[in-house]
Amino acid sequence: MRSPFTQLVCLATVAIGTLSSFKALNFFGSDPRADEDHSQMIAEELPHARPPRGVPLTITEGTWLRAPGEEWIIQQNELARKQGLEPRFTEDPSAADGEGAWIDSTGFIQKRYDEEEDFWAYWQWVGPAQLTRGRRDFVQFCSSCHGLDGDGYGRSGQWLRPSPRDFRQTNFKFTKVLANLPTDDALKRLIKRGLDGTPMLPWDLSDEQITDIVQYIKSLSPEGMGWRDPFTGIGSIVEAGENPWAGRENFAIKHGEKVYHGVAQCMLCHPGYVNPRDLPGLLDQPEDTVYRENLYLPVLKDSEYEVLGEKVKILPPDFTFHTIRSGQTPQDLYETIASGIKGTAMPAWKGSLSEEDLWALAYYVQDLVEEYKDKPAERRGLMERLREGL
Amino acid sequence: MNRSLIGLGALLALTACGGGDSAPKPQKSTTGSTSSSTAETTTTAKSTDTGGAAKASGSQDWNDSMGTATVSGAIKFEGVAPENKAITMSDVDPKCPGGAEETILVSNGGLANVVISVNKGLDGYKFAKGTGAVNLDQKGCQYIPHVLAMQAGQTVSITNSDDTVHNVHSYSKRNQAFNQAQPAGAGAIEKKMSQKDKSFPIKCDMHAWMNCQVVVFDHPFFTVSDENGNFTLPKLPAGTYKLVAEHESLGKQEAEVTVADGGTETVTFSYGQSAP
Ligand SMILES: [Cu+2]
Repeated sequence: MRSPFTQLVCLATVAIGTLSSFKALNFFGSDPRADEDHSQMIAEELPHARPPRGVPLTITEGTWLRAPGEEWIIQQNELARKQGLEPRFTEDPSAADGEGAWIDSTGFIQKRYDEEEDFWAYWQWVGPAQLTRGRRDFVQFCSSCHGLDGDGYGRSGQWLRPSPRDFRQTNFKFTKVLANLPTDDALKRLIKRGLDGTPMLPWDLSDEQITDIVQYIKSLSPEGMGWRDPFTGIGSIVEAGENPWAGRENFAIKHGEKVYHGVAQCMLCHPGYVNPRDLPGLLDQPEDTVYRENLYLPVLKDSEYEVLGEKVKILPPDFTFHTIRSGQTPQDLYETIASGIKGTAMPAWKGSLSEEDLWALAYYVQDLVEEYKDKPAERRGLMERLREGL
Repeated sequence: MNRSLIGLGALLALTACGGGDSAPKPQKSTTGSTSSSTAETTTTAKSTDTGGAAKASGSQDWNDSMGTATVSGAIKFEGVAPENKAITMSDVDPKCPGGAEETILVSNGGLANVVISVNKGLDGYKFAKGTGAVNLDQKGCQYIPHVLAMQAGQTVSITNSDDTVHNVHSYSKRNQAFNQAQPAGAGAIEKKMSQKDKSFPIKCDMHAWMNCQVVVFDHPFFTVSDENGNFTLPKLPAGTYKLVAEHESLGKQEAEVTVADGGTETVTFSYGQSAP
């Protein structure tokens, strides 16, 4: 029952070095057998990967998905050089019909022309074998929450709040990149870390498995959206640079409090954590200025995310109460604040605040988290003081 | 979309490793037809001009001196203009002064903030990218202008004249969307709009009433009606054009107009209660 393509498939896969199991590959060619047969056979070979009855696991066609642009390519080359490896891309000004392009020695990333949009962009080829591996692991590990087709409405996910991500919306919150979409590495890091305070666990799968899952998730982009949108921007995780407050953390917290309630006015959406009477001083306003009602509570904000066809609103976190989703070290918080949270009201602050202010905010938020974590009585006291303006 | 990517499945099947993960061989363009026998011999349907505009074959490069005709006119608003509700801002941000809604602005029977552009009739010309910058200011916790039309290649320079913070949340499609904070005193946010883009909003999430519309054209024949609803499209070449008027809440209208060299034609669009 071996596919005639098996050997070739194996060769190709070895060449790209993402092969995890020769055995499993028997079933991943463009094999004419029915999907049910595949499911059956995979289930026999890999009993843990038994899919729900009738759910296809095999993807027979590869696809082109948007790749990051030149900046990333140059980064990759630099990285390779640092490791003493041959850079993967060479610049060719005559390529892409004279547009100029970086040529990928493996051929997996190409600058391609979209005729309808009259637009050149880098695209990445993802083959059916990798998509099938990704699909298989997705069904096994992700689908109970994210749904068998990635619609965020899996059996276990239906009642979860926050709702699991619907991958067809091609919007991702904690990618920590400045572009619309994250690079593969950024998405992989998110999966490996998980999202604290949500059922999105840190996934301890092999790097190869997560790579495959990421490719599969990207392939769920509808036509003209996400990784199938020629105009999509794909970026790496924002760089944190040097910490200007190293060794002066207490000053950072103090300064962060000033930035939070002053120039950045985080309390327009998040709670304010200082006595309202102190605000006019921080904001350079008359002493009798009246601030928003319930200043000690966050304000519900519109988002771009939809659940069952309805736009959902998102509550900006109260740092003394909610679990910070994507890391609580000053560096993590720096990355989140600097890059913003895609699809929500939270903007990117990098470039709009000085690096000192950004890091100070990160320290201040971390301090709020640590100060009141698992201390309900202390927090109640704080809330009372704020509410009563004491 | 991505019609050009069609045929890759076929290309793949023809490569030595059908069903495997090897990418189709590098090729010059994606416009290869499914009938080509191998990826290497894929023909490119695209012309070699660097602009990549396949439709531009036989067209000539546009320069300003070629246009001597003018289309001018007015956007009328029939009936009683809706009252623009006052916006109380201080309960959200005491640094915002308060204002009024500005979606429908009518003055002397004319409707402001309607984008008028030439939609059809320019196929014979190839337009260079726009240059320079256009300003979008945040002042009094509202956007100035409320409707901004620009040319692909131009930069939008977004400034904050207020003593408070805003976040500039762009919902552009063909140009990179962004959501960038801009505290008082922060420098201008400069975003190059390289591609034409249908009308999209820029909003501020901190001040929920703040929104404006931006549209990016791939030619220079567009304008926005002034406060009295008047507009002028100068420097057009002689020809017959489809003119489109677009208002953010009242929708689109079309008109056909023919102008001769050196001539001026007048077009009137009519919105409002009695409009169709
Ligand atoms: Cu604002």
